[in-house]
Amino acid sequence: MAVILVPSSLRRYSDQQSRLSLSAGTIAEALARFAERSKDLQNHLFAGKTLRNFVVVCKNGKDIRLLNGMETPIGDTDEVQIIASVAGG
Amino acid sequence: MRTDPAPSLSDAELRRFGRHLVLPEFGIEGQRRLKAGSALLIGLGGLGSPAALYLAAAGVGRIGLVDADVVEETNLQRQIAHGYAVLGKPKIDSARTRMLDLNPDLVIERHRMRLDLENAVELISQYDVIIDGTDNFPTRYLVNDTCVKLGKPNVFGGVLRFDGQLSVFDARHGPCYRCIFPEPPPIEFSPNCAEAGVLGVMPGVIGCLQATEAIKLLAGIGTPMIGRMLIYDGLDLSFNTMRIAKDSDCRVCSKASEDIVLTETVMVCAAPVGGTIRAEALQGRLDAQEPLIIVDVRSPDEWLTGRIPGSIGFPKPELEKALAQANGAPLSGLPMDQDIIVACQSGMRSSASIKFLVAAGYDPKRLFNLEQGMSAWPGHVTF
Ligand SMILES: [Zn+2]
Repeated sequence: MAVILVPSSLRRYSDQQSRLSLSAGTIAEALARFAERSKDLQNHLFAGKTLRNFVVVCKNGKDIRLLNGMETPIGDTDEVQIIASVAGG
Repeated sequence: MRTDPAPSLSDAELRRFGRHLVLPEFGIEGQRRLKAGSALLIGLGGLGSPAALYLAAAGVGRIGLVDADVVEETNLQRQIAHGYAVLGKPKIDSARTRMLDLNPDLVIERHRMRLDLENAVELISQYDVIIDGTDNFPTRYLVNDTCVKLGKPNVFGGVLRFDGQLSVFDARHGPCYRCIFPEPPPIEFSPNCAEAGVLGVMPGVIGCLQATEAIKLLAGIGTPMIGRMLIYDGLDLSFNTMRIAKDSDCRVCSKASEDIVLTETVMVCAAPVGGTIRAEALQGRLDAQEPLIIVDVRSPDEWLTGRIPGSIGFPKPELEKALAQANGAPLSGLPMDQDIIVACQSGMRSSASIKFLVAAGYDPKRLFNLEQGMSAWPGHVTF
């Protein structure tokens, strides 16, 4: 099972867990699985089918835009990190 | 980037910086480069407070401080450059006092203002390294775009709740802020620290890391965080470094400097909620003497420029606070079973206010945003 690392701003959708295990073959599948948890979360991550441009996703510490984007394959030992833009100071 | 080393260090400086001088990677040359270098700190809040103190203590020769605010009690949970003794005083003044106490040889330049479209180029062009310690998206995008235009490294830090982020955006050698986050999130997804909270020590951690990166850049040592972003999770205590990419289509850093036009970043809502009404239609309903409630969510200062006759003044921050406290009950004067027109100057704050009203239980079918706000209101006003 791949692991999704959830930023604290989204943990109200993950029962306050920072890591969620789920089975998925691609980044797109993993995010879709995660987003199933709530309509608000779906709306936070996606505009329709596209990932919102203030959400960055990394696979094993690498921006998926440097890989194969949403179609990047993931396996059992992979970590998918969601990074939400924060502006506080 | 490396600045040219300053000619020499005084005896006092040689004593004060002894622990730096024995670092083989840093040494007297690193110290002289710091003394010859300059940094601009934008924002003296949670991030800027520790960054200011460490940059001063480390011996950066010239430091610019940009902040328009005065010290308030609620700042002191995290803004450790200030204190009770200076409540109500400008932050640039209280930070300066602390900084000079750590290093009396510093040159500190105070800029008591907000960074804006008019002053950004002038301010940022005067310094070697820029440190973004601001607390809002529009200023962050302005800092980024100006740094790209002028070819300056932007030491970025951001915090919220228990999350921290750090990177060095230097478009000459890697991605800029907009390559990673092209636009700010819509208002409903972008709470600030006042709304969402922040553990006070989070900006302390990130602000210290910003100071470290600025010192490395000025002294020309180590590997700067260019093309990488640090994600700090305070609850888990994890530090993850992500590799981030330059966007070849970036709307700012893919352009030549002279083609970069600085613009104001406006925070918008993702999808409008409720209906809208044009000024003429509202005038028509007023002329027909329909029972209407008009709420003006601008600030009391703005009401002095004229209000729609019969409108109720309810500034947006107070409206939000009242709704949060009402627990789903209607506010007095704002029944839930009548049409309510919400107005501000341009239609932006009123649109956001409608979201809060809906979230508090008001029927979106009975809420109407005055399109383009008072700026498009042709009718009578009262003062
Ligand atoms: Zn860019």
